[in-house]
Amino acid sequence: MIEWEVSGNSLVVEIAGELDLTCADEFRRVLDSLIDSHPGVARVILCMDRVAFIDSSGIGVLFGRHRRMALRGGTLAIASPSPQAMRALDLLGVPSVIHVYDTLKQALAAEAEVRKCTRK
Amino acid sequence: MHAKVNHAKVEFDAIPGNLGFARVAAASFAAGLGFTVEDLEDIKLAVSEAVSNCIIHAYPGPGEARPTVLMVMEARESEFVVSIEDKGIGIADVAMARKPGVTTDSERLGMGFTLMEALADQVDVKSELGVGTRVEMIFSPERGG
Ligand SMILES: Nc1ncnc2c1ncn2[C@@H]1O[C@H](COP(=O)(O)OP(=O)(O)OP(=O)(O)O)[C@@H](O)[C@H]1O
Ligand SMILES: [Mg+2]
Repeated sequence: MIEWEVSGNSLVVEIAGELDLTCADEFRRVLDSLIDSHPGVARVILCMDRVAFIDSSGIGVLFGRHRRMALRGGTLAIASPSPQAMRALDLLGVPSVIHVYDTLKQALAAEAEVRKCTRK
Repeated sequence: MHAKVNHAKVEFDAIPGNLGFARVAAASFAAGLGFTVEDLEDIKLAVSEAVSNCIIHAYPGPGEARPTVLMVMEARESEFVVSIEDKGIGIADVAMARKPGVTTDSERLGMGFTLMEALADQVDVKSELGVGTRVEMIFSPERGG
């Protein structure tokens, strides 16, 4: 259901399946332990192209992890959401709070850009 | 198109394991009514919100009766009508509960009713404390959204 790798300053997490009440708790636990075990990572990128379904239970977990990353001065972003995921995210106004990128490549490039700016 | 009249009723235990079943049952019932694939995804999302609420909120304590959800699906002319009903604790203030961001669970967003309202053409909520809650949603295929 969840695969991950570290790319530069980012923890890239690939999520698949149906993110609803049935797996929200496990989804939360897995993401939290990934975040906690990578204290040096400034940004978490969640790839959601294989998310077949997400509802408010799943989106609640995304918001919670976004807050968690913000608390340690980091960020959380979403990359390549499936059409259903994008629809649900849009309806809840998620893109105004959490960055949503069309592709993982764009998300990683945006991160490099942010690093360049803050280094000045 | 020919007017179709049809109905189906399913009652199931109020457990997370039945959530996917409820979504798929509603979408496959509605599938023959002229909805697009995107419309059917919207129906799944709205049903998921209503059924999740029954599972999460309606039966908080150890009750004597077996917690269940009743889902009634109807094809009325060109509309799909689905009602989702529990015999749980009920909602004290329905108008308040329907507002965006209102939740009794700090881990949640309080956006379930807001999503249902955005997805369905019409949402009707009836609730009585100690008796239960019934959410009825109406979808029509030709809606512009
Ligand atoms: N079937 C129900 N029985 C009892 N209370 C309910 C029921 N459905 C909703 N509620 C109450 O209404 C509130 C708002 O519901 P809504 O679905 O909008 O948000 P939520 O379930 O708290 O959060 P989210 O849906 O975003 O995960 C709930 O917090 C709960 O107190
Ligand atoms: Mg809800």
